[in-house]
Amino acid sequence: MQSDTENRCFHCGLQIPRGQNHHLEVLNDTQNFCCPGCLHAAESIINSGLSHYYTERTSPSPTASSDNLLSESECAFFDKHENQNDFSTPTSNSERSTLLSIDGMQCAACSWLIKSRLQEIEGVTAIHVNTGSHQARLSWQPEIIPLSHILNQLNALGYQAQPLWHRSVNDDADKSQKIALKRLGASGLGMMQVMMLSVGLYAGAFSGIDTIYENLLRWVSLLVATGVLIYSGSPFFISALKGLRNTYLNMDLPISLALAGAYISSIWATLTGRGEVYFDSVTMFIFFLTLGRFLEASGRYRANRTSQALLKCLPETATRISSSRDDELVAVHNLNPGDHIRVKPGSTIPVDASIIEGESSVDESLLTGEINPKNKSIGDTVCGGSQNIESPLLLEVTQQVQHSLLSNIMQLMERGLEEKPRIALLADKVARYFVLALLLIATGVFTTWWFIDPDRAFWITISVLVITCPCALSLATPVALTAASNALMKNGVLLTRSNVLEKIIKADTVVFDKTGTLTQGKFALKAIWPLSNSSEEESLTLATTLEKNSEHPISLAFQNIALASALPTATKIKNYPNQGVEGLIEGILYRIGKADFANTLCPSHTLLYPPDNVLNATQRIFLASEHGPVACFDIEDPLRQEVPDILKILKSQGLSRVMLSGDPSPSAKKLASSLEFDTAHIDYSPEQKMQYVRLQQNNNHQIIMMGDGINDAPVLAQADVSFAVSNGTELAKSSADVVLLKENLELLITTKDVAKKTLGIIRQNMAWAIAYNGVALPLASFGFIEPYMAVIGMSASSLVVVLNSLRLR
Amino acid sequence: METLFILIPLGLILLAVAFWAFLWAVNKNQFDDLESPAQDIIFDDRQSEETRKNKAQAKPKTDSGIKKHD
Repeated sequence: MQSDTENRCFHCGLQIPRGQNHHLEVLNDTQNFCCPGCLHAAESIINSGLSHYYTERTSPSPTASSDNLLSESECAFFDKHENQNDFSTPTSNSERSTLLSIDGMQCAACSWLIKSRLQEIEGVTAIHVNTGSHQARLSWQPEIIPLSHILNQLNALGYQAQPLWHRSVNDDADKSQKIALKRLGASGLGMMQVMMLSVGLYAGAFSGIDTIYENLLRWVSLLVATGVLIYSGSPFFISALKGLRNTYLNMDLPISLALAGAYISSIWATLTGRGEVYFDSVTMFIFFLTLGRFLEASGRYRANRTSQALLKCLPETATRISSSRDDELVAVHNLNPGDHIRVKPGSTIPVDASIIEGESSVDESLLTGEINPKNKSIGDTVCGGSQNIESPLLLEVTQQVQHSLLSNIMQLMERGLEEKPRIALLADKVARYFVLALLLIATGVFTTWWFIDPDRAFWITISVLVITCPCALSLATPVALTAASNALMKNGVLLTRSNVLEKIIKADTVVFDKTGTLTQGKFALKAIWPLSNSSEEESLTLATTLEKNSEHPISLAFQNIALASALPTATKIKNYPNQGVEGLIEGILYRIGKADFANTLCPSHTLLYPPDNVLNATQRIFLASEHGPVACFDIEDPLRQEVPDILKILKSQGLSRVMLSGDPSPSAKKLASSLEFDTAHIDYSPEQKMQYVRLQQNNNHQIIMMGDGINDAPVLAQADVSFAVSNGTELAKSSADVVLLKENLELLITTKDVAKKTLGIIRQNMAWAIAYNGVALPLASFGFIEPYMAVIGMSASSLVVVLNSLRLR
Repeated sequence: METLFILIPLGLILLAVAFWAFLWAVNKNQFDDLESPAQDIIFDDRQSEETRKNKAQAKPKTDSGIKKHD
């Protein structure tokens, strides 16, 4: 056997199949490739003088299979002028611009390769690649180069490029993210400027300063702080006002009060030349708060942005058969009920439809989480978003795309998000009492001093308001949450809503989806039972040879099996939909697939069934030849190895564990009992899962939901806290509060630990802030506090809070 | 000290320019991808170095320095 690296494709890292013999000299070394596609991709990279890509990339490139290329009709569709308005906008008379989604992009070297490759093409005017969101903005001149040609250049490199349709969704999120960034920049720049001026003021306070210069510094500070307050501070005031209108005191109210108090008293001081100015505190305060909110919003934005890849679940074009029996490629949203469409094997079914010709098996895993394909024949309905596996189907459209099941699930998810129970967060609760107390005390102080010394009443009230300015209190939660999300990010956990950390601690039930969450969501070979005297190795070789020709998901189980000997060639391959594969190997006819199907080759022999003691064996397939049965294979969707440990830890923490699965097979039930789940339900629809969680919530349970599929999206949205696993579908990720970036469920425990620590820190911060205010308040009320002490105290108390939060790193 | 009356307004103008530049950068999507453009420049550099080396080494070969055996 050859060494491992020699046996792998230089371009994509896959094992090179026997009989494939492609070499190319790359970087002064002869390299091997697995297929003509990868060879051509490498050639094209080297010919355009970009061979350095191979030394810079950090992971293998995507396999450049030759069927990546667009078909002729697809090319025609993208190049047709009338269609282009659906996915691109004209930027000038001869130029258009579009947003491409690019699959297979893994590292900065990929983005460099794409940019450099496209820039060479004449007619491409601009290309901006975003590695994070796997999207690229392309401007090109349709008269010089057709779009399909550009797309095919990318496809030839092994990336899958497609224009995105629904850009309006994207634009909204983009816009608000940009505004948030601008606000942050404005407050940062403003803060620096005001700080600089206040250094002059502080120095002046100690060593003396002419009134005219003091006034100059104050007026300039006033100018800058006003800009910052209006531009960057307005969201706090708006949110506080909204809260008030709904008779709800939120944390933005004390923030707004503190900002307004410090700002107005500073204006008063500037105008009258009496008292102290706090413009530096105002701007700093706005900057820190804006920073915290910006970081939180970016996490959410990143999660949502990748979710646009969801739009690709549905093919954007479909082949419509018109009355004249001519095939015509149309955009999916133009399909109407009654239209006839043809769906090739291996393609996604675009809309809900019923079968009028053909028979095939259909993979509905996207919608149900069930990875076993379902058999469908004439008259059966198929759902948009599911995949046709074996043979071509002629369908009659029953629903427009916006009414298809997938769209319904998305609507269900949105409803779930709306209904999500809002538990009052600690910070908000504290804020409510704090604001009330503060207002009462300030009024009390003012009235008391009014009777004692009306001249001093105003200034003492202002200093009470300033010194009790809930800066530290307002910073206590956001700074800690920001530090926690950063710490989690380093561990591979992306928080899309940072206030979930508090809810994670309160949760008492963890609900798991089965397929893809507890299990790996793909078939693997579990056991081989020889039924003849051929060795395991021999039967495995035969099975792999046959399954190589199958599109069925089960064949994946045989894909990555390393065999000592070369695979023989099989001829006369025949795929039987829903049954199995037949082929001639070394003169003997073999069949692999369902028991009855395999047995018809050798009717005189009865297939012996091995003992059925295998847990979670979802499939059992047989290999037989003309001379008799050869072997039986157990195929299963293996459990993630960390799952039993995690469940044990959750049990020890006193949480109840629930499994809700869309999978109707009894093995799911068996799995649940072997893992000691408290409750397990199988064969649940997305709607039922959501109802289950809602019922538990009505019984005062707080639910953590962990899922991966599109069918989980509604329940993820409904749960108090939801986790999406890394290999999950984009829709699941976009409705989840927490996205695990690594394929490891143990991160659930990590997140819980960090959440616990964070809550501890938040409590310490609050205790400190309240203690500080508690001491400062009486002193200020009795008029003992000099203004400069108030400023130092205010900044110091905020600093303590920030430093304490940084311990979370 | 009268110079402050010129210097501080000048500082404010600089601030305005900086803020305008920042807005321009945000609007031009300069903050979209903070990672790959930083590396692109290095990749470009190393690539041109490599191409130069290859050309110097492989004079009799084809211009791009590739040889195919299929």
